[in-house]
Amino acid sequence: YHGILRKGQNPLFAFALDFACLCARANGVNFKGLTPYEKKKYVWKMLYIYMLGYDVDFGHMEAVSLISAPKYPEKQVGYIVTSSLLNENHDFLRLAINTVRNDIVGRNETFQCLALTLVGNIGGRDFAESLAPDVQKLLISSSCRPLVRKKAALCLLRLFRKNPDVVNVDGWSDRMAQLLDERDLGVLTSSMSLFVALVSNNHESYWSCLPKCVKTLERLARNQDIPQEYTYYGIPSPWLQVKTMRALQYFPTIEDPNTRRSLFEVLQRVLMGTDVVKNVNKNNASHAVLFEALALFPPSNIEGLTCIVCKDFILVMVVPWYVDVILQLIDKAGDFVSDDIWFRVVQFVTNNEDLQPYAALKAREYLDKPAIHETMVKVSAYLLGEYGHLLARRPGCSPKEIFSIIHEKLPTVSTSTIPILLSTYAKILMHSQPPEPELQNQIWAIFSKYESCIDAEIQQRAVEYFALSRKGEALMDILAEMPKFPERQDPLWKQSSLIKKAEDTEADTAEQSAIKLRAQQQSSNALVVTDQSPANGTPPVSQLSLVKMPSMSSENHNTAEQGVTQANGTLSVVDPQPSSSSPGLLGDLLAIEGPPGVAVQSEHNLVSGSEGALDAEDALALAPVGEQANTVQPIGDIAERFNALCLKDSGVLYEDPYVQIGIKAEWRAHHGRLVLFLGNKNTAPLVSVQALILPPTHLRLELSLVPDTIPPRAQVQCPLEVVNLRPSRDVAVLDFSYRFGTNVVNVKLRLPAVLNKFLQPIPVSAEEFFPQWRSLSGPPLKLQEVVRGVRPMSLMEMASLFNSFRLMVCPGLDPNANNLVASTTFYSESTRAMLCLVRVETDPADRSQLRMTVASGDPTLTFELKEFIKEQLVSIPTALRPPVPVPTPQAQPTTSPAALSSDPGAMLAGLL
Amino acid sequence: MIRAVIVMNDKGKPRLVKFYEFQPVEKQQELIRSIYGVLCSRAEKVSNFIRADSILGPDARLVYKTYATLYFVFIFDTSENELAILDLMQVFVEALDKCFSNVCELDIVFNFNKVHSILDEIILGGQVIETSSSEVVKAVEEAYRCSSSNSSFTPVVN
Repeated sequence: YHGILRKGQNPLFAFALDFACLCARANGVNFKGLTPYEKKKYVWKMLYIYMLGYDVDFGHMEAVSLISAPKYPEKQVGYIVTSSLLNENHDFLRLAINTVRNDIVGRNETFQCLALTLVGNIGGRDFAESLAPDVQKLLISSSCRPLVRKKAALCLLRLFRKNPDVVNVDGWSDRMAQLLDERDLGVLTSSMSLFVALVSNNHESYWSCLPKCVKTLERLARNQDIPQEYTYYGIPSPWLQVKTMRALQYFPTIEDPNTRRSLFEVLQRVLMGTDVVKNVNKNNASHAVLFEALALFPPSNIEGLTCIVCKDFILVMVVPWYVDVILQLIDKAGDFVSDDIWFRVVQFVTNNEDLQPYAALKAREYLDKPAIHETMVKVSAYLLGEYGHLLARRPGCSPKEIFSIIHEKLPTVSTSTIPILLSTYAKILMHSQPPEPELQNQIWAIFSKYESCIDAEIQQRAVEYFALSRKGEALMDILAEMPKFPERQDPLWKQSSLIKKAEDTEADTAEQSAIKLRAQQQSSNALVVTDQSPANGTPPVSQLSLVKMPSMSSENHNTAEQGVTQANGTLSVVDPQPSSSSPGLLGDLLAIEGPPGVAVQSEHNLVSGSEGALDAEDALALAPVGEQANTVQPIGDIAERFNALCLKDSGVLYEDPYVQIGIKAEWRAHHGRLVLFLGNKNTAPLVSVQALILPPTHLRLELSLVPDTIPPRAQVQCPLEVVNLRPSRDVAVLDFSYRFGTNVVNVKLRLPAVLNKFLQPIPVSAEEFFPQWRSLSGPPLKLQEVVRGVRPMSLMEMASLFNSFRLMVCPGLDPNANNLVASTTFYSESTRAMLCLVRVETDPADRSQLRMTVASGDPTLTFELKEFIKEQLVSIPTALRPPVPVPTPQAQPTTSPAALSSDPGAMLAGLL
Repeated sequence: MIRAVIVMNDKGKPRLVKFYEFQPVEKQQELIRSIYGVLCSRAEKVSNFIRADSILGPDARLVYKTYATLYFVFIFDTSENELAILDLMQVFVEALDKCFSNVCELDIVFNFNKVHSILDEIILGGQVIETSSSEVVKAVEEAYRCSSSNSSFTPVVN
């Protein structure tokens, strides 16, 4: 035992020592002398230690020897431990072959099972040679119990896979056909696995089994003769369905029309019957079957498949999969794919940024195929035109290569496709900057060729693209990437029913609220309807007040949303009455006196589109503000908390008796990562928790999922990603609501993702400062203003105020001691890193006024920064700001009045 | 085929390891460690499926699910349907639950042998043998009844 002892690893050492002592005590040195209990115990321990990662290289013999023990407990240990510790080439295994064979041909079913399991797990050539015929006999024996036969099937499969030359399966097609008639689903499942292996090897020999497989599927799909214990969440043995469909995939065609029809019926049943339900396990099972069914769908019957495309559940499914399926569908059966369907792919890809490179790559791959359907040419051309540039670094994906592979298809397509190709060429041209002269000439030649085309559409495009592409810059604007599609305008999306479905199933699960949240976010102009509570007993001015959320993509105000546009029209009629009469929580609501008809109408469009009666409830479900809203008082001053958070990166944003919202932020260049800490202060759960972000147009905000319920005394962390797109002083708002007991609380909180968070102080020397300062010569890049009503503060205080806002004061630059010069870098997606310079000239005789000059390379930035600094100098906190500070369009040279009025998020933030 | 079934706790300690293709013990441990590394750094609301090519060679997939303190991990290749494997995992857990009524990590530790028997009734040689948890439990109970005279044994854990 010295060899064992030297190992020295702790548990192994202890075990080995224990083992050795025990053996020694029993009868000198022999394992055989131990009691059955001791043998069993030590061999189990060995396996356990092996599992923990210690290389147990002793005791193998003992484990193998237990296989021949007469009683089940020891035998079981022997078999299980042997099959875990040894591999098929281990010498000790040969010693056991005879015992294993005796167990297999013996009468004891339990022993048969153990032996078959061992062989099925680690059986090698020796086992195959001596045992295969016996195992085959067991499998087809009519006297054997299913318990044994199913193991025999898989045991045979293992032997066949490892040594196909040894296991004779000639003439097995008849036996296999017989096996597939099996009624016991356990035996049928393992037989099907065996069948898949045999068919994958050689499907020619097993044609006779094909109708049996279809029959099995029929039996399952119709739920005939399926015992209860094999239905999994109401689905008859999904595993067997999947396996059977896998087997069928190995047959290239189905000759017999009857079989084909039956299969088609089954598949159709699967497709139509699959739906999204609340139970995750059930969804998994039904989609497992669905995916196999899709893979199997015979191209000749593909029209049946198109129906699936309209199904809602696709929305919930993995998105790349959807694109894959549709592209496959087009590839295999383009004739049956209507334009609707490929439009939808395009729409889907356009609206899912993550998907764009993937879709472009897929499209590129399909173009390599020798003959592709015209619809595929259309989709691929469209996708590559829009997103081909995302692939630029891949081999075969340079603009030139993409162009030539698409252009190859041009002679084969009909006139309806040519305009799409022309657009693609124009887009390729636009994306290849600087233009390659050769490619440019080639494309121009094509445009000029089609300028005289008889088809008006083609002619028009050719003429326009030709003219535009010669203008350079203009081409960029017009051909810029397509904006996202407003999904709710597409009746085919049936988004409404998705929302409703989510609500029907008592949307408690996180998944469902995710769907709901996504649905709300996707409709970019979602309306929040709030039940205005009458303040001080005065009758409400209007029952419903509309708050329009800022559109995330402002491009899509078009004809289909007249109801909303109308609401937009009345948006400027801000009635200050309700807000001033209840200055608390509801004061911040933007109340619009719109005709109720409009409200209902637009809500109708958005949410349901069918049953009007439900609308009011639906609407309320979106953002309920109950009557007791103002009975819950916030702790501490919300505005003060916000102002404090503008200067530091962590702290409490809001607190009331039930909830505390903390915030922690990190800023890097134009990115920010905030974490909201939602803490439930009580011993009862907070329910109906909702957090919506009302983002101003210059920020891209992404809030991770907020759970519907916060458990007692628990804190939930919700990360919020922020991207600064443009300079702006508008503030993002968090619309937070929850229910506690009968109290429904809704608060709207400004988020401290403010302009100065995207500043990075930078020291500037005199040599750097003055040339910059002079090069930015005047408006709009350099703006000067005399500010009056400045809070009295010393120059020192002002300098530290500037520093706290990340404007770095550079002492000594200005010769006049009463002046102050500061510099900083501003980060946003549009401006990138941009240097900003500030100069403040004060009058020691009158501290209430000063002259301020701000300069940067971007006019908007200059203006916004100047206004921002002014706000800080004039007043902190905001007490001096006008009660309803509607931004005056005239004061903002860069923002059009139209853009302002369509961005009520900004107005809302202003009201806070 | 299914290549391996691993049950480990949230500290990365293996509780059940079964490879259907032989792997030397060092390799097994390396796999378990790297899988644990992947799992414990994964966010909560992400897919249960992971491509495991880098860990287990070409076309290996990994499905995992967390039940209380335990990770259940199945490793398999492209010949299996991922969602079906997820179902199978559910069957396995249901079977454990029926055997130990409200199964917990300790049950798996102290009934190591029985857990192995249950797994052997569900998967054989990397192929699925039975998908009905009640059939599985029936088979296991039956086998153990045969040996009831001597069944008080439970392995002791270090």
